[in-house]
Amino acid sequence: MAEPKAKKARMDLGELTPHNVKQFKLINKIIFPVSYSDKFYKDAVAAGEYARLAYLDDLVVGAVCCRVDGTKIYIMTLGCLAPYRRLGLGRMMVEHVMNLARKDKKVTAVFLHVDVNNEDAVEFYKTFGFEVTETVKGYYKKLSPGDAHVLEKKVTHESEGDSSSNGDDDETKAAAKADKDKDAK
Amino acid sequence: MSRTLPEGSKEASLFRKMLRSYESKQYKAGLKCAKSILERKPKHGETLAMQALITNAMDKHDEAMELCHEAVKADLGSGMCWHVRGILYRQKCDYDQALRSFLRAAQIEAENQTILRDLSHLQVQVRDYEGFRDTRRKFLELRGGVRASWLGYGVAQHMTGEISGAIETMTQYLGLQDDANTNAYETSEMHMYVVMLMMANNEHDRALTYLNDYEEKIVDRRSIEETRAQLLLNLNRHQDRLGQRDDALATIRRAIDHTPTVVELYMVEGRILKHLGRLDEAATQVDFARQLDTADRFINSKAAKYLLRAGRIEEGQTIAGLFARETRNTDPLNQLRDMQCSWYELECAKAYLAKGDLGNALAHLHAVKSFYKQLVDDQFDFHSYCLRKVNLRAYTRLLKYEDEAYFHKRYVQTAAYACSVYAELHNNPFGSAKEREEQERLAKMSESERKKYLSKQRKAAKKGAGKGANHHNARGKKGAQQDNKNKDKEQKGKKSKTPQWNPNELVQTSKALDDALVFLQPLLNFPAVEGMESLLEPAVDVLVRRKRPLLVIKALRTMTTTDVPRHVLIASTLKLMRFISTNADAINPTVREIIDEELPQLVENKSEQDLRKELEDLASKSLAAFACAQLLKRSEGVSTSDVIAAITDKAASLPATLDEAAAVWLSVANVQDMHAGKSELRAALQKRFPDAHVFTQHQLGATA
Ligand SMILES: CC(C)(COP(=O)(O)OP(=O)(O)OC[C@H]1O[C@@H](n2cnc3c(N)ncnc32)[C@H](O)[C@@H]1OP(=O)(O)O)[C@@H](O)C(=O)NCCC(=O)NCCS
Repeated sequence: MAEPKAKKARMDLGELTPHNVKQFKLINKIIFPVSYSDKFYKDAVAAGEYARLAYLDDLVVGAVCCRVDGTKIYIMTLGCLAPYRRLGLGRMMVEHVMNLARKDKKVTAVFLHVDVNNEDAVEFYKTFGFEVTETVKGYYKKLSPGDAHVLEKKVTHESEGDSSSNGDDDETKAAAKADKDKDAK
Repeated sequence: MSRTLPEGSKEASLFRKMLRSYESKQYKAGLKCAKSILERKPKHGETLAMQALITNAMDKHDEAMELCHEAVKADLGSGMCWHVRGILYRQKCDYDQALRSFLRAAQIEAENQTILRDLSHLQVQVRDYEGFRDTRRKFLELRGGVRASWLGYGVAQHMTGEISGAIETMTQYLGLQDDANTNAYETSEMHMYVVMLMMANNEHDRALTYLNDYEEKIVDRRSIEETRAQLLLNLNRHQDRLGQRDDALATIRRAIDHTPTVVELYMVEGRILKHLGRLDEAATQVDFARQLDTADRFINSKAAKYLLRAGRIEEGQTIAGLFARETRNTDPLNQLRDMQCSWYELECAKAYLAKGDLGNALAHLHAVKSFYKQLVDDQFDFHSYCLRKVNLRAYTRLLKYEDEAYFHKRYVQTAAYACSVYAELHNNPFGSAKEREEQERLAKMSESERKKYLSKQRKAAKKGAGKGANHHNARGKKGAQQDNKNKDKEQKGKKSKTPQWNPNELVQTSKALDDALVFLQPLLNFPAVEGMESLLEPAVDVLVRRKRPLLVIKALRTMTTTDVPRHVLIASTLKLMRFISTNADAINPTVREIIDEELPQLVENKSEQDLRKELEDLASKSLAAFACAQLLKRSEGVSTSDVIAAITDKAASLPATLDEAAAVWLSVANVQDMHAGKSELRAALQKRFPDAHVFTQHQLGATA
């Protein structure tokens, strides 16, 4: 018999594999109003540390998926199931992304799009120091009005020295890629 | 205060001073007081007790104990003396003596809270929960305004297993307490404790409601959510067990909405749907669970099983194949246990039976049998292997296991299906009915219709044969040889070999009874092992036709000791009686003698007539018995269509569970006669159990 109070649940991040990718799909389907392409999931499985499932004890209750986009990391999805919010799981996932960013010298910022009406998420990201840098009209094609804030947080590296990335080139590629992804959403 | 010193006396004031000195640890001063009292009142018990206590505090334990004995002797009626005695013994860890002393003290001073507290702590220390509870109750009666009194009593009730009482105590207290003045964390803890008590009491529904009602008061959200998810699962199991299946389904769906990533929830949902007869939905849900964790072999085989049960044979076979490679085990001891494949073959056989495809069903049944045979044949390898490895305990276990290999319930089931199929094929050889049917059908068709129909038939036949080829792994050498010839037919990536058993040939057997006997052979003693109930009736059918009355007697004897329904025993006995009366001359006199001796004992000396009456009576009360009695008539010459029409007539009215109805249906559906009104029976049963999927699986058209 379980003693509800005696034990504290454990929070953890776990790998995304071909075996459990369906759980990731299920979570996204429930949390996000947009649906993602098969390719999105195929890439996610191959994304290593950039895609993680969030566990509460043995239950999968959330997931995060991001990718390197030029000199930035772009968060594609991050969320957890409604009954499990405000337990610190979101924080754990954001911290994971920020750690990835700090580990990679050429990464200067982490950014993402959020539906302007999703105040909870905006508040959530603001607690970590993300700021709205721009608002894109009609970003989500399937939603109306579908406007999105771009939230961004700069990354500071411990020994800020010669950042050797050739920014311009990457930035253009990044923009092109972001456009493509938007279609998938 | 000492009860034996008059109030206002010099001694009384000295006594008071002594107590104060003790409490403020001024032991010397305390002893001085004691001495003065004892000078005036020698052997004053309670003073001696205090003296003992003070001496003890000064670490002179032996002296203290002596003083204490003196004290008790001097004043046996003093609670204080006994209390001190208890304290000293407790310190020596002599809990038995300590407990006696405290009990005595508490008896004398029933309202002394210090004594009660010491007593209750010692009781819980020595796990005297009943005593603990009684003491805590007294405590609560004395000090109802104090929280610890309530909690103590609640916990004590919990420990003695009076969980309902504990819940009542806790909720009563929570109702009384003033939230504004209480620490939110503590209140939360108390509510969660109530939830836990309800769970321990199997009151999952109540716990869930409670959790919802008091959600706001519980500060630890994480434990709420976790508990809720568990709770839903428990509640659900409970409802499923109680047969409240619709409630169970609603509960499990709530749980899935709450946390849809929990694989087990879909498994539970699948099981409930299965119990409701909704096999197709059940398979879909369990297969969904499989997709959530494709690394889990257990779920994988469950999904295969559910798909096969739902008649989704191809899907089931593919899913089962996903893990097939990994089930091949090279360690012979493990391999023995690894009966993965036999469950699969048996499920396939069942699936084909449910569809009415007797040929493919037989092929899979033969496959199961071959596994068991292989197991026994492989003994030779194990003899040397185990002895060489000095694996003696494993070896002897193994020998025993081998001896009883065929007693495994899966093999018994296999033999049961084989007997019923072969008994039917003996009665109505495959093709006889089919040809008749085909001719009638073709006669009604126009020329073009006939052409189309025939080409379709040819294609279907080809496909059927191909399917069989893929799924009957030949483990033996013979299969491996044939393998080369048929390689082109093989699907890529499948390790399966050629058909060792050709469904078409199997079903067209001209020696159905012999074939059945091969399955029965290892079980002819009819040991009362698991699953035997299902074998006995079809075995009797085979043995009566095979004219083996003594073996029938054996089977009947086991029927009387296992869980076989009475109507089955009677119908089987009647079959034997009929055989005896129609073959009276052919039966060997010795055999006859044994039968005459044994048979009456099996049916309480009842005559054939009595038995028939009894069967009729049973048949008026249950659909299963009615169908059994009707099918008996079929073996006595009544036409199949009359029999089925009679069953159809009662299909709506006679009591039957879904499982019973499904069994009746299967026994009728595979009767080899197309024009017997089976579809009417199906419609009637389907109407009675509208959600059930079992009745629609059968492709009546495909039956011979
Ligand atoms: C946004 C989301 C991921 C937050 O996850 P979470 O596990 O509840 O967040 P955490 O418990 O780690 O919260 C960390 C901190 O963020 C802030 N925060 C989180 N949710 C907030 C809300 N709804 N309003 C205000 N602040 C909030 C709080 O400061 C919180 O700390 P606290 O609980 O100690 O006060 C979750 O609500 C979610 O899955 N939403 C739907 C998906 C989504 O919109 N994702 C964003 C687009 S990618």
